[in-house]
Amino acid sequence: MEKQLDKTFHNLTASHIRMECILKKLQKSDLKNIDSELMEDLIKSWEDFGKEIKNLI
Amino acid sequence: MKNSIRILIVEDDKYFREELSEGLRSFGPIDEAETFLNAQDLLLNNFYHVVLIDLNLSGQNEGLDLIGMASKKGSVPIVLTGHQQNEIISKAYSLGCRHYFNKLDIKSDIQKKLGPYLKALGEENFKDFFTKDFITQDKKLIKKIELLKYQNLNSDQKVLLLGPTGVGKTRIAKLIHELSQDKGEFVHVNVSEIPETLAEGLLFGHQKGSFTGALNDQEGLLKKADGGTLFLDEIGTIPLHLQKKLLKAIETKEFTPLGSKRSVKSNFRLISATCDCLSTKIEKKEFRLDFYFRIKGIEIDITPLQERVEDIPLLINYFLKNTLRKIVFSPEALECLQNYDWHGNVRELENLIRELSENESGLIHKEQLPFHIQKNKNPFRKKEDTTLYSKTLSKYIKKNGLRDLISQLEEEAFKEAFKEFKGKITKVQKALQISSTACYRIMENINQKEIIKWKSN
Repeated sequence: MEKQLDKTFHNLTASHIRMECILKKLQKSDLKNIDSELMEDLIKSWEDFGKEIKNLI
Repeated sequence: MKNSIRILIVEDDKYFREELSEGLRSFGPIDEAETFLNAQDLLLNNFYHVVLIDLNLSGQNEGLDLIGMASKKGSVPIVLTGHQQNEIISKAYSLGCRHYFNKLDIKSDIQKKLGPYLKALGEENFKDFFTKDFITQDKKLIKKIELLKYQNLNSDQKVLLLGPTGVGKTRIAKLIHELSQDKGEFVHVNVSEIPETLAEGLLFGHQKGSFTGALNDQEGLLKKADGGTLFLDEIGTIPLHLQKKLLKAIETKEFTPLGSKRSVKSNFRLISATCDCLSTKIEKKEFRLDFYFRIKGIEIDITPLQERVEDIPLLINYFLKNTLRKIVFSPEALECLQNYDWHGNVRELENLIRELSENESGLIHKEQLPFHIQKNKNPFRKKEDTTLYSKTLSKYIKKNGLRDLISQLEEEAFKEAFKEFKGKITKVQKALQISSTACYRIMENINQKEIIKWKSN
């Protein structure tokens, strides 16, 4: 149980940090030409984050 | 780059890896590895001062293996992870990890949070400290001082240096000041040297006309240390009335100079030092308990030289190197110097070497050493207190009488011997050097149930 929870929190942390890093990158980039890979990664991280929250519930 | 350190970042998330790399660029060249194999390859072919390791690489806890690998190569492994399980933290440390951080805690300000730890590793000069400024092999002391490097030495972090005169408390205080990288001054105040009547004015400053002879406004030493370090040496000698005023100044970083109505602010770090036993002074009501707790902070107890025998030859060599006229010691003379108990500590040794360097003969034999060193009779040695009678005993006797004290002592001594020899009365009797009659008399006074309990223990 403790191991599973630790893993869930680890994954939550990872996707949270990834999203934050991507957002920072987005803020610095040219908003008219947003890198599509960045957006895809942001969506993927958001989905991962959601999955982990579901696991937690 | 004087303090440059080479860093390897092992992190599978490219965005966080980039963020780390950007945040730590100012410390030196950085290599990045995304996978375990990348990292392994880089570690095998390069030297890194620091390896920042994410434990979970592509879903596996491969980072743990990298800790050992980095450690064997002489790098300092630092873990950055989202794992908070004690089992994993403990495993990481047992494998050689130096610091363990949660990514969430450091992500917002990587440079500021990891900076002190990396800066400390880059401080080449610090290594020299224990071979030049403060020569010692005392691992405990080195470790304690090294720990200070990793702490963000903000101005609220107080340090109390304890140790006999001449051990090098001032040198350590200066090192702490340098480590903090404050822009302000290092203000050294030897409290015992300031006349009591002038102390308040000198420390807090005074206004023109506040006392006879105060011809001008004078800034105090506390203000002089603004943004830097105030080193209060021999703090054990500070008068009680000043302790009260200093207590408030340390707490609020604000004080009022003599004769002034306006308070002054000064953001100083306080380092105090003493060779006195402060607990005895507190007991005698010569030192305020609240003041002690205010100045305490990190306590560093510096071992006297006579307990650091292995440092003596190192110190002798160091001082010999610094003398203009070169001298050497015969093996007997060296042995004598090593056996002598240096109550004046490093200062006494340094002074002796300086004095001997002017000796007629360049080769110093045992007979040329001062007589007290030849005979190991230090004139400064304090007479050991061998009397058993103490204040506590005196109080006890006043309250319960001498007879009661004697029977208490007998019972305690009996109890200890009884336990040690597992109830064998003849052995107890022999150890306590008492007759069998006396032994049974003591036993009679003790509750029999208690004796059975001791036996079963």
